[in-house]
Amino acid sequence: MALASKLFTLFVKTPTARPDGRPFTASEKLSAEYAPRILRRRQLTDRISTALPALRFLSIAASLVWLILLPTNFLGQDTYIDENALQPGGVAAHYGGGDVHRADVFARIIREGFSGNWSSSDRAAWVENEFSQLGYNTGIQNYTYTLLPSASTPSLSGKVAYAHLAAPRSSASETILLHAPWSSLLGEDALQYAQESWNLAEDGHGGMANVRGVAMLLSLAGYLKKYSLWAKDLLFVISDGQSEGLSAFLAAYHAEVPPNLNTTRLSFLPKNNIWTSFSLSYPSDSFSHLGLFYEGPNAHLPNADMLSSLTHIARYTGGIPSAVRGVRPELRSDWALPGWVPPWAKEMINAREVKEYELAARTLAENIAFGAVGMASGVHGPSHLYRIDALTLHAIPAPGPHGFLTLGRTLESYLRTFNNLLERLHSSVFFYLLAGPYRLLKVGHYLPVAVLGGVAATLGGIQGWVERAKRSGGRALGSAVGAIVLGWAVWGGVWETLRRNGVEAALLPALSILALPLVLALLPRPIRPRQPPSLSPLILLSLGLSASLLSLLNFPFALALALLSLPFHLPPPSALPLRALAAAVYLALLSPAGWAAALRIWGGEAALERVVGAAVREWEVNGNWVVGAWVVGWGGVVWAQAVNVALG
Amino acid sequence: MRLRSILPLTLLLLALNYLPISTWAISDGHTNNWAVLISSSRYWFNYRHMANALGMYRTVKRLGIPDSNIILMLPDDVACNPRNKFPGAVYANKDRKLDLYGERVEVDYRGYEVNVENVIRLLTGRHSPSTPRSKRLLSDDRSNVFVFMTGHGGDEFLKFQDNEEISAFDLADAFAQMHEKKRYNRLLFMIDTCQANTMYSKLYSPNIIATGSSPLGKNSYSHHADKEIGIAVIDAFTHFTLSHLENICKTSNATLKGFFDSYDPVAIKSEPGVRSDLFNASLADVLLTDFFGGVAQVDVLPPQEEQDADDSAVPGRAKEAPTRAEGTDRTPWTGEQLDRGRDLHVDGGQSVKAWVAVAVVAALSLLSSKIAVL
Repeated sequence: MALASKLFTLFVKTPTARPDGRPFTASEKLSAEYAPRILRRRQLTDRISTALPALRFLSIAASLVWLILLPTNFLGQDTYIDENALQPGGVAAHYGGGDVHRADVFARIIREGFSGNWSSSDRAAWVENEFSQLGYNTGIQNYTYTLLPSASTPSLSGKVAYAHLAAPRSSASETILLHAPWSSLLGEDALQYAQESWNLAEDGHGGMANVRGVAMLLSLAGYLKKYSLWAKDLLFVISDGQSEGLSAFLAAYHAEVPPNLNTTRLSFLPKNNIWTSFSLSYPSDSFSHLGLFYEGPNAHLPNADMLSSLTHIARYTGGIPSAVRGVRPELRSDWALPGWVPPWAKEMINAREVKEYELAARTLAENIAFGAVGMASGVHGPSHLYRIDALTLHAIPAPGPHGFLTLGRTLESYLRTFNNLLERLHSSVFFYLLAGPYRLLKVGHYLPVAVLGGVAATLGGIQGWVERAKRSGGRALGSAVGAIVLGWAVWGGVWETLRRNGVEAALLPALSILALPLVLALLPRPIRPRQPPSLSPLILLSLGLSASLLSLLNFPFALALALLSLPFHLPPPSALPLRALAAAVYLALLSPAGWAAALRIWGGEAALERVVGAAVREWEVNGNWVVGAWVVGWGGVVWAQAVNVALG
Repeated sequence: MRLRSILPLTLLLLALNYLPISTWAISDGHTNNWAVLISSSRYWFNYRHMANALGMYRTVKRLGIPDSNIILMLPDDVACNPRNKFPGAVYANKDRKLDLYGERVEVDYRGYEVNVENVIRLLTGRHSPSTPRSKRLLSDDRSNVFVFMTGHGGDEFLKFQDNEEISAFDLADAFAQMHEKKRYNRLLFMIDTCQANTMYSKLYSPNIIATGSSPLGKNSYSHHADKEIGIAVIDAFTHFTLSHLENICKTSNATLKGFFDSYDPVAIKSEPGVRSDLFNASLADVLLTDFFGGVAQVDVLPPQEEQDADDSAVPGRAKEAPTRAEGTDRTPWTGEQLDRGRDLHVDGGQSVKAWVAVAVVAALSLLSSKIAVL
């Protein structure tokens, strides 16, 4: 600062006498001493103020350009193995024809069971019996999650069959968890595009049964027990439901049973840490790709080494190509374009680089979508809450060429790799985006997108603050903070009502709260408060803060915040009808209430119930805080902005 | 009759002792061999470092160095690691024909005892009184010491147990102390790590030959992996060395120069280096068995007048030179006496005197035989 002021002395002359030539009095001399400094400070702040809009624009532009550049080859690198102990693919796998035959027998029994509509207890008892015949220490856990009425089901209950193998030659202190749910990742809609050769079976709950996933684990259990080279305990878990079965099991295992869970105790005393885990979904007879569903709740990700070693092992030991989630890594076919499109445009649209860009963009967009709502993909989500590196492997159905043999070999090699671990996975990155099965974006490659958006919002807040301070002397700070806190409190109340009593009960309070800004906008001028609270800069500041701070922890959420806060940069209109319109637009388009209304209008009551129920279930069962942040945090901010716009 | 046959034989033996034939290594003068084999890394994925050390152990034992003269340091037990598909066995080759951990493996420093402090104490001989003999380097000034180190290293350091490092300066100072305390006649230092050659760049004591597997900035690589065990089983440089040594036996005349000349950077997958500026003789005169084997020279030397000025009470009486046939069984030990050494080298002037003595004795014996006949 001293240097800056010294530089500015070049531009500001220190007056040494009064303008009319007479010398200064004593007090005037004192003022003369300080006047240049005040003048310099004013000049500095003026320069910054004039530059601020340009900086904001540049930040936003840079953020959007970077976002568009994310799927390109300029950013990102190939996946790599960082942990030296892993040594993936170094082992010859011996899972063979005999084990495949056993797996086929298991698969047949399971399919017959599902077509015979066997109950949860029947199949849990059967699989427990099979594990114990193989020599494992087994048990069945009964669990019940009691949910709030809004969650569209009063409770989630089921059984989890588990089998435990202690490490044969040492007293291990870690465990590898192998999980397969009875229901695969495929839903009912899979029947519409399923092929005959897939041979899917329905699970009776609106999805496809994970026939071969469970059979694979049973066959692996029999095979792995023959070897004494396991340095870690093995735990096989076959669970009901989607991810709540695994969630209940892990809660009982770690003795952290939440109040809404009622569960029986495990038959063995868990003493080990679970470091790594994977869940297997394999509904069809054959598959072409191994899909990696790796997102956890709240945009948690497993260590990148988990993914890299799996893609490496699948490629070199099993010969199986990998895919990110269900997105097959194949370029789309050429689009048939109408005749009026010029040939150079046709060539460009169907160029290889454009197709690769589209594939990478689709992959990234799915990842961002999951993270933006804090939802886990796959069924392994609960593991992340216990600091377990976990992912779900989904065998993407196809007429061929892969089946039990290649998958068995891959999983055997994968387990041998985990067996080599001496420490929890920590070497590779935890914050990354996957643009493709073999392409990784590290944090420095994507973080600026959200941070620049946050920077723009913060600069906007600072600028607005400075301007307001000039005009009104900054007296309205208390009321501004109060307004935002009021918005959060109000929306917190709405969220609680929503959770406890469902959509209907929350409707009336929500509507009345929403109406307030419109009422305020329509109040005649004399009744409105004289000095409107300077909300706008505070809102921008809080948005900028949230986006920048949360960008590392949950990048998709911060990105969504940064993008949705773009309209907040626009100055509110001053004319009365436009003000009311603008407030209504904010509430309709940007607030969660507006989204709920839109869903109700276009999707019907059932769709709204389903979405709200899923959100509440995520909050209650899966530890997802992002949904709450959207309703309460974001809802409050948008409501405060609507009030701000309404008051002008 | 006896005189006629025995005397010439004795003369022949005496004469041959003093002939400057290089295979007898009179200029070397070592009478015992010691080997210090150090692996410095633990954990399952460093299996190959243990295999390196055990392979070298087997080879030096085969070539004649007894267990009592070998210090073997293994920081981790890979043979009994639960991840080992072949429990109790360590293989250095994927054909798994030779179990290096099979029988009679004496590991002197194991587990966490393998650390920088113990290595330096071992080399310099500064032990606490309770240290057992098997953990001491009881070499003297007639010992040829072979020091082999393997593990993970870098620019002028070697990593011990993922925890600490020994630097090239530490090693140089330890070797200097060894020289000052006359704990070696000659020393061969071999190191197989990444950037190994930097580790011997700071040595400054005489009579040291050093060789390393790769220069500054370059890595050393493993040779091959075993798909059943699941990791690499031997390093390329050590594998090359052991293969070369497998072709020699105790009586071999293969020289160190021949070995160093045979270095093939393609087979070793790195550029190995040799440092011989501290060594004052020719590498062509140094046999591989001088360091890797336990071939001992036994001398009965003539009396040496000028060295024992205080023992002239009985003139002409030959002071018996202590024989150091095997160098293993020493007289009852007290801590201070261990490092005593005697300088009993034979140089050029004395060999002239020896030839004159031979000629005189030969003439006398001829005369005596003539007299006996008469």
